[in-house]
Parts: sequence; C-alpha cells; structure tokens
Amino acid sequence: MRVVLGEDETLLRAGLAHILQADGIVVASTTADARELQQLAAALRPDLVITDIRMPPGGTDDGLRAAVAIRTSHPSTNLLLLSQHVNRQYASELLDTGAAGVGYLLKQRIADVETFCHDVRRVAAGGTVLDPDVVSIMLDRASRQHDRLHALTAREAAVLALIAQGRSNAAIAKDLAVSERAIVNHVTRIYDKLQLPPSIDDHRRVLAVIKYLELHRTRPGDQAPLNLPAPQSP
Amino acid sequence: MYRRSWSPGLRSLPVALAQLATAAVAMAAIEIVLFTREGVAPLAPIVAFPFVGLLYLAAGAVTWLRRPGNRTGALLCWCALAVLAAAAGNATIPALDGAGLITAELPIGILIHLLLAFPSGRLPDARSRWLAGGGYAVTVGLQAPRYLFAGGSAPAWLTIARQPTVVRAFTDLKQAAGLTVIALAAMLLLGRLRQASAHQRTSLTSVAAYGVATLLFLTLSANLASVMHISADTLFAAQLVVFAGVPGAFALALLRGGFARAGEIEELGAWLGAGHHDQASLRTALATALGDPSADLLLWLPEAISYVDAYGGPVVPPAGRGTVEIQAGGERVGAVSYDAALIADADIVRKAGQVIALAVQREQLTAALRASRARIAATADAERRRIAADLHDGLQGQLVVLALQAGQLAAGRVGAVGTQAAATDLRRGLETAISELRALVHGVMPALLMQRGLPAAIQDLLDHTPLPSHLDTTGASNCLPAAVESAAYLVAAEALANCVKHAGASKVSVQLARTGGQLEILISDDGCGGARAGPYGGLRGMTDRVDALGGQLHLASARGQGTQLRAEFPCG
Repeated sequence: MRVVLGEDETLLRAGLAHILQADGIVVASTTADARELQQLAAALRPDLVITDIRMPPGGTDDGLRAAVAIRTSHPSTNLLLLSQHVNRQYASELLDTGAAGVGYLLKQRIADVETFCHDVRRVAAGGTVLDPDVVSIMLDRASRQHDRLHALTAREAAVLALIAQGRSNAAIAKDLAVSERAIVNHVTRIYDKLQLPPSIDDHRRVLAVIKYLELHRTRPGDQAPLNLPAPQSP
Repeated sequence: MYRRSWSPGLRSLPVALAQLATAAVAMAAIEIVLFTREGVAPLAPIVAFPFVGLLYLAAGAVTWLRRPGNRTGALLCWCALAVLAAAAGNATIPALDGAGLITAELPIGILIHLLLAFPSGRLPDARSRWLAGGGYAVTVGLQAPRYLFAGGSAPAWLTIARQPTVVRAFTDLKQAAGLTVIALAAMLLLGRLRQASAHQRTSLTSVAAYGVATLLFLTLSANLASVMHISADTLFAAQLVVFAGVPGAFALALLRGGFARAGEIEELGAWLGAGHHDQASLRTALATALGDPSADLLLWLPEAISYVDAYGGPVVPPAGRGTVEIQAGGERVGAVSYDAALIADADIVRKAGQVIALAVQREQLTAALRASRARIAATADAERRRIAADLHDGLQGQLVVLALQAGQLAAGRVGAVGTQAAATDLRRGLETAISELRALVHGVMPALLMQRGLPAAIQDLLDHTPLPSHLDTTGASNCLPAAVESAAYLVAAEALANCVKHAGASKVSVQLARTGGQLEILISDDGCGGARAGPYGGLRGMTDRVDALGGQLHLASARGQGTQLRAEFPCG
C-alpha cells in the first residue's frame, strides 16, 4: 500500500510518515504544499492521499481543494483528510466526490496510533471513516431537519454512527457493551430500513452511511426552507 | 472663568467702564472744587449733588458688569452723567450754569425710563416707549421756557426774553404733564405686576413703589414745602436723599431679585456661538447665567435609560432640587438641575436649556460615543480575561497533571505491566486537552470564518444549533471586510444563542444578503419574542459593535411574534 502525504508542519509530517512506515505502509512521498500534492498524486498514483486541510500556498482550505481535484482526475485515489477542527460542510464536499474510500479525521486522532493505522488501511481499502465529531454533527442535524429519520431507533442510529466512523461490528459491540450478535441484528435492521439490497457486507456498510448521510445531508439550496414568521420592517 | 471666555467686545467692558468712571470722577471733582471756591450756599447739599451722580455711576457700573446683557446698568450710568450735568447748574460759570439748567430735570426723565424699562433695561412695548418719550419731552422739552424766557435768573447766552408769566405757565404745564406721565407709568407698572409671577412680584412691587414715590416726591415736594413752610435748602437736601436711594434700589432688585436674566441668557447664546465648550464649561456658563452656582448639567443617555455626568457615570437628578428637561429636535438630550429655592421660575431655566440644547446634544452624543467605546473596551477586556482564565484554570492545570503522568512513566514508577495503561491514559488526557484548546480557539475566531468566509461560518453555527434551521445566502459574497465579517458572525452567534436559551424557538432562519454597498443579516425565530436591548448584556454589545462599523441594528420582538434581528453594515 502506497501513500502520499501532505502536511505543512515538519514535525507532524515526519511523525506521520514514521507511524505509517512502522505499520508497514509505504510512504511514497511527502510534501508541505497543496499544489505539489496534486502533482505528486498525478505522478505517483498512490492508493491513498493523506493531507492536512489547511495548507500552503493559500493557507485556508487548500488541502481539501487539492484532494477534491485529485479525486476528480483520478477517481480511484482514496482520500484521508486531517484537520485541527472538523465541520459538516467539508465532510459534505468530500463525500460529494463519492463516499467510498474517503476519510475525514481530527488530527488529534493520530495519537491513538493503532486505531489511526486501522482507519488508514480501511480508507485505502475503499471504506469510509468519519470523525466521531463530524458524524455526531451530521446525525444531529439530520434528525433535526427530517422527521422520517426517526424510523431508526436511537440504538440503530448509534450503531450507524459508529459504522460511519469505520468501526467493525466487533468494535461497535465492545463500545456499546453488547454482544456482536446483537450488533449484527441492528445492522441488518438498518439495511432493511434504508432499503439496501444484500451484497458484499463491506460495500453495504459504506452504502448505509452514504444513504443515511445523503438522505439527510443538507446543502444550501437542496433543503426545504423553514416556515418562519415574516420579518417585520422596523 | 466663564466670563473671560466671552466675546472680545464684552471683554473690553470693564475698560470702558473704568474710563467712564475716571471722566465722571474728574467732572465731579471739578464741580466740587468750583462750588467750594465760589462758596455757593447751601454748600453741603450742593457739594453732595455730584456725589449722588457718582453713586449712580457706581451702581450702574456694578450692574452693567454683573449683567452685561441687561441695559439697566447702562441706564444708571446715563443717569449718572445727567445728574453730574444737572449739578453743574449750581456753578456760577455761565456755560456750566446753562448746561445745568438745560439738564436740571433730565434725571427725572431717565428715572421714568428706568422704571418703565425695569427689569431688563429695555422698553418692552410701544406704550412704554411712548411714555418714556413723553417723560423726556416733559423733563427736557418743557424745561426749555424755564431758561429761554427767564431773563436775569439764567445765563444770558440761553435767554431770549424775560417772560415770567410764560415761565410760570410752563412750570404749571410741566408739573401737570409730569404727573400725567407718572400716573400713566404707574398704571402700566400695575398692569405688569398683575402678570408677573409670584416670585418676581415682590421685587417688582418694591422697585415700582419706590420709583413712583420718588417721582411723585420730586414733582410735588416743592408744592408740599411751600404749604408746610419748609425752607428751600431743606427741601433740596430731602430731594437729594430720596433721589440718592434710587440707584441702590434698582441695582439690588436686579441683582438679588433672582429674575430678569433674559439678557444673561442671550449672552449665553452669544458665548455658545463664540467657541468650543465642553460639559464642564457649559455647566459653569449655565450656572453663571442662572445666577445659581449649584446649577448642574446632566446628559441623557438613551441606551442606558439614565442621566450621566461628564465622565459617563450614571446620575440621578437629586430630589428636592428643581429639574428641567432639555430637548433638541423633540428628543430628550439632558436636564438642568437647579436650586428651586433660589430660582422660583422654572421658565427661565427652560429658556436657558433651550439656548444650550444643541451644545448639550453634541455633548450627549459625545458621551454616548464615549460610553460605547468604553463598553467595547470593557467587552474586549472581559474576553481576554475569560480566555486567560480558561487557559489557566483548564488547560494549564490539565497539562501539569499530564506532565506529572509523563514524569512517572519516565521514572519507570508504574511497573512494566502498568506502562501501557499509563501511556494510554496520558494520550487520552492529551486528547482532552487538545479538544479543549480547539474549542477555545474556535470561540476566539472560528477557522471556517477565516478559511471560507461568512456564509460557511454561519452554516457551521447553524450545524451546531440544536434547532431546525434554514440559511439563505442568496447574493451574499465572501469578499467582505474582515471587521464586518467578524461583527456579522458575532451578531449571528449571539442571536442564535438567544434563540436557543431565551426564545424557546422551534426553528430559526438566517438570511444573508448583499445589496449595493451594504451587507444585511437577518436572524428570525418563531419563539416567544419580547426581547429587549437592555443597558448591558449581549444585545447592547452587538449594537456597539455594529455602531462602531457605521452599521445599524434593528430588533423586532413583539411578544408572541418571534424575534427578528437585522443588522446592516456598510461594506463598500
């Protein structure tokens, strides 16, 4: 598995490369610049591009824009975005490029090296990994805006949130302190409710997340306007 | 001192008065020397005559200086000159004797003028002007036959014939005409007394009574003396004493009467036009004009719903004192607090208030600006303190604990088995600290606002608002001045927090629009309404921020109608 790494903080870049290599992942190249990241991705065709969002040259969301551009020209390239803070809009833009093989995590998650390397491998394999923070924002918002989402029970929603974070059934069972068997039952009911046809399990998991988030994802323009009292002129 | 800052013309008043006094004293001195050398009889009252003139001059000068806008002082000085001229008639030098004869009765004419013009020193209406003119006609015009047809008893250069019968006829006519003028004047004064306020009436009555009595005495005393067989010398002395009391009476009534400050208030207006003044000098000028050293000027601060002093501190108009509101353009801008025992007539205070209203309004606006700046500074300061406290109490403490844990690990005190668990604990602790730092940084300046601009940052706010929400950013753009972006974001953040905390809203919508050179942000909810911008608190802080950028904040929050908060910013 080959990775190209974009991170402008030297120490973090070196640390990340070290962690990945220690886990047996090949770091094909690293860079501190978003434009160079695009060039590297085009030249080296890695399995996965890991990049910080705030990057030179613009210092704003250049990493995100580079990642989206890479995905547009090379759809098979998987993306893992790292950031000091997460928000729903960036997650939506990333998911718009296709929910398979994308990840969006807070930088601090790197500290849990084992989980992080697991997430990296999962994204590289075409899975979806979203930070718990961004998942909770999306699920909260989705349940606020759309009544029919309440079709999922609270427990099912919690399980789906954990699936969206890229967790396995075993990990979810451990987290929720129930048997793995119980989780499998929940997952099956979620598939039924979201009307997902039987197929390869991993693929269905990703589809569940996409379906859930796309159903409930709101972007300016595609949401139903709320009915509020007309503003009064003062 | 307030008076020193008056117009240049007024500053020369003391000099002019000093020159006038010097001339009058010189004239009186010459007369006294002449009288003494010539040995005129009766010497004492004749020598006292010029002194009476100087008495008028002294009273006139003091009144003029203390009430520069009032003409009474000028009239008293004018009377002083007339008295000195009349006194000269006692000299044997023909020129002086003649001048004295011509002006012998002029002081009585001026006395009538003074009486009719009291207390402003100006003749207020046509009737009083006619009467004053009549007084001068009688005392100067009807005096003419007295020397023109006097023959030997007047200097030759003044006499055209000797006609004692004409002189006698005119003397009688003069007395009758004089009494008519005095009676008419008395009637006019009575009419004025009836219209005067209770407080002014006392002073006006005493002056009018004393004035009319003096006039009657001066006109009729000769007849009285002949009936009562009083000698001409005694009569002259008595007339002089009564006449000498007049200037003191006028001056005292004017200066102590607590009224007739209209002229002062005009001066106040002239002073306002002359230059720059602050609240302190306005207060001094007001106190001087009102003759009340305790008079105070309070500025009204609408957003604080309170009066403030020059330093912006809230003040309550003291109870037991008079308070008169000052308005400019139909709006309350301030108030005058005055000693109600000293100034019984609130009208004069109101007039003074009207004169200074515009200057007070300017001071009021300055005070409001100062208060707003102080609040902005205080808010920024409080924010820094909050951040410092959060860093110190939260993060710093956590990091110290984590450093301790790391130290334990490094020292190998946790044992081989515990090392992994301790390191995991340490990692978790660090993650918590990082999350806290992230929240703190986000609170100071959200990253999305810097990376993506206002619409994205507000969308993020809505994502974190636990209410169904709608964002309309039609026509909004990202190219906004940073200050406007931050202010609009903070307005939205504050408004959304209020929607959740206070309004009990079930949904909220935000509209962001840029029209022309203006950014408009509208936050509407369907909550309970009834929001008000108090003197302090979030809404006040928002208003200050918006104001500082030249924008406007409108709040519509009728009870039961939801809340609509609209902020408009000019943004080029």
